[in-house]
Amino acid sequence: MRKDLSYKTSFPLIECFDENLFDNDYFGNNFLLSERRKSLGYFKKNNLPSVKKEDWKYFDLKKISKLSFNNANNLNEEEKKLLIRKKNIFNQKIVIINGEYCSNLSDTSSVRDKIEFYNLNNQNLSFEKNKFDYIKKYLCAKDESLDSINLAFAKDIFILEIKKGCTIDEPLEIIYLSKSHDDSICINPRLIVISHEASDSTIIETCQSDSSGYLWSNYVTNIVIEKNARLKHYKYQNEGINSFHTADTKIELSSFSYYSHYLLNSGSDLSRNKIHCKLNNNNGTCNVSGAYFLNESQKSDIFVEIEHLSSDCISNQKFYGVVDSNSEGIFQGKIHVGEETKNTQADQISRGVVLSSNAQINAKPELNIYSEDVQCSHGVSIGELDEESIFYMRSRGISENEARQMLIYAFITDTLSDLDDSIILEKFNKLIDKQISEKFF
Amino acid sequence: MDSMSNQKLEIKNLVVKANDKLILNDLSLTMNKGETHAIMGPNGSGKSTLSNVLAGKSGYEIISGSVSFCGHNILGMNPEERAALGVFLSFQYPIEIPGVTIINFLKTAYNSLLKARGKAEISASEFLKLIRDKQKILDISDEMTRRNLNVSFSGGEKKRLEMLQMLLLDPFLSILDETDSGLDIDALKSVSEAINLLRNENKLILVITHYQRLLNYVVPDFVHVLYDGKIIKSGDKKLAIDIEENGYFKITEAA
Repeated sequence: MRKDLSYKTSFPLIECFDENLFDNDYFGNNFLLSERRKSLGYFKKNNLPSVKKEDWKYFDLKKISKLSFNNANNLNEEEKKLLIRKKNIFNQKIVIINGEYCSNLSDTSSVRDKIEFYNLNNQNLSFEKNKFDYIKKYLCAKDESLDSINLAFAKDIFILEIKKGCTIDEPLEIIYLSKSHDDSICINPRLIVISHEASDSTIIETCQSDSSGYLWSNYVTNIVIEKNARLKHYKYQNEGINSFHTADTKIELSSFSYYSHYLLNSGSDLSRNKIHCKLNNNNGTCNVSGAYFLNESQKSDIFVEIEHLSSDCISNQKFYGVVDSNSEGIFQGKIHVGEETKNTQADQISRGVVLSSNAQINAKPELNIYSEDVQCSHGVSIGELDEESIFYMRSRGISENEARQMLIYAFITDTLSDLDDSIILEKFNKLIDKQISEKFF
Repeated sequence: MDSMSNQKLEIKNLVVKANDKLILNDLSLTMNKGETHAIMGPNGSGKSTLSNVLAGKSGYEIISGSVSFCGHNILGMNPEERAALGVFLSFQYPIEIPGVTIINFLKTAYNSLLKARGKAEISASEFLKLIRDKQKILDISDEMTRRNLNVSFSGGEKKRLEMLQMLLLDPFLSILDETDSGLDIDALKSVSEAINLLRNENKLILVITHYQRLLNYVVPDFVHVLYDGKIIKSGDKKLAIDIEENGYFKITEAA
């Protein structure tokens, strides 16, 4: 491996690998420990990818590589309560603070019959062997830098299952909160979501932090959508400005399944959201969309990869962003259509508004199509707010600032056009409104 | 605002360039309250520049001269400050803004003006009542006000919407930049009705037009001919009829 393909790191964290973190050998043969050890080895070998690697071309981890990340300390109950105040949106919630499950702050009582939620760092689990075999494949060490550091240092592993045939009307919120004191900490939440056959549910991930030191949250989420199941997945990333957010979300879709993802990305100094969907079986649909708002020197990289590996599948990508000051937005959208597939429909659009001469947006569509029977489209547009529109609004008495904010809102609102849940729509409308008024004034 | 005594527009020796080209050349015009003036002129005479400069559009270089309205030098003000003072421009080509609904736009504009004038904003229900009264005059449905601003509107619909905004915002100085262009006879009547409804002893109305057609319905007190950036002739309604019959040629030739 060429040396300049990676950044060397010297995180104190690496020296604190906890062999005994998961007491119970649920999978047998010390499976988890051995995969965690392998992961540690991979990270030591790979370190962090540099901008010389194609996938990381626009997103530089150098700043992260130079910091001294430690494991997070446990917070006391008072601190936890303070952290969650006014942070949750919905009644049904799972709260994870600094990578640890907080059962006393969580509440899933009204969906008790429809879901199962459990964490592996728990003494009291008893499940059939075939269930653990099912989960196992999502806990294998990978020769990928961020996945390996996550598995090696995840303090716990969370599994959410939506039971076969169950419909959950009210969204279930997964709240990730993080806090560091003065030191730099690295948190590695790991979640597996299984939407069992013919289930239908909505989850919202909210990621927020409150840190005086540097905080790196490195999420890995595996999502499995079984036959005829539907999952709507929303995410609001609003971590603090001292934080770095890297999230790798991998989705596998079965036949006649549906997955939609909406990401509102506005927090963190550096954020990278990778969303990778595999349409493994026929008649799967996935819609991946979202919006980002950046100011100051924020940088956001949204990396979507959709693999059409079976026939009669539909995919859509739609991301809009607004950047101000010295910020930078990146959208990389890959579409892969496999050789044997038929009747594929894959669309992609990314649009951006640049508000300052020092801000920039990079968009990189990448289409790899190996089949003839494909309907595919992609488009990119990046521009400024329309001055004629601003004058028109100002001539009616609307201040320049408000006119700009209204135009930004009008631009972004197009990303919400496919959201059909009125509670979610209202919530995201408010969040977008809030972000625009806080960021672009 | 109602207490303002000096409701008068005074344009003195205005010289304006755009893209280094002289557009308005020593233009002077005085309008007193209660008066309706019409400015006519051939293409390229500077009509739209005049209306844009009055409303505060950027991109024009004011070389010399002054514009005062209600005792304020408005050339130093931004567009929203002028709007707060009571200046309104009905656009020749109203702008289409996808994603902004008419009703939201109108409410924001109305409340912005109230706020700028130090008054309390009004509630959504009060606003709806107010706007519905104005909608009736122009036969604009609620369905239409829920649509995006000017998007996929016909020429006539756009102009009627401009008139709805004018009636709602109730300006002291209304500048109507070719509001009659592209209108069929029914729309023309509807637009004229709105303008006449606004006319009273306190208002100033400046109608900018190519043709005298609109002036049959909105009868002006004064008619001016703008040519090469200055007013070359002023008169009453008869001047407009004369232009309609004989064209601009005789007047411009004399100038």
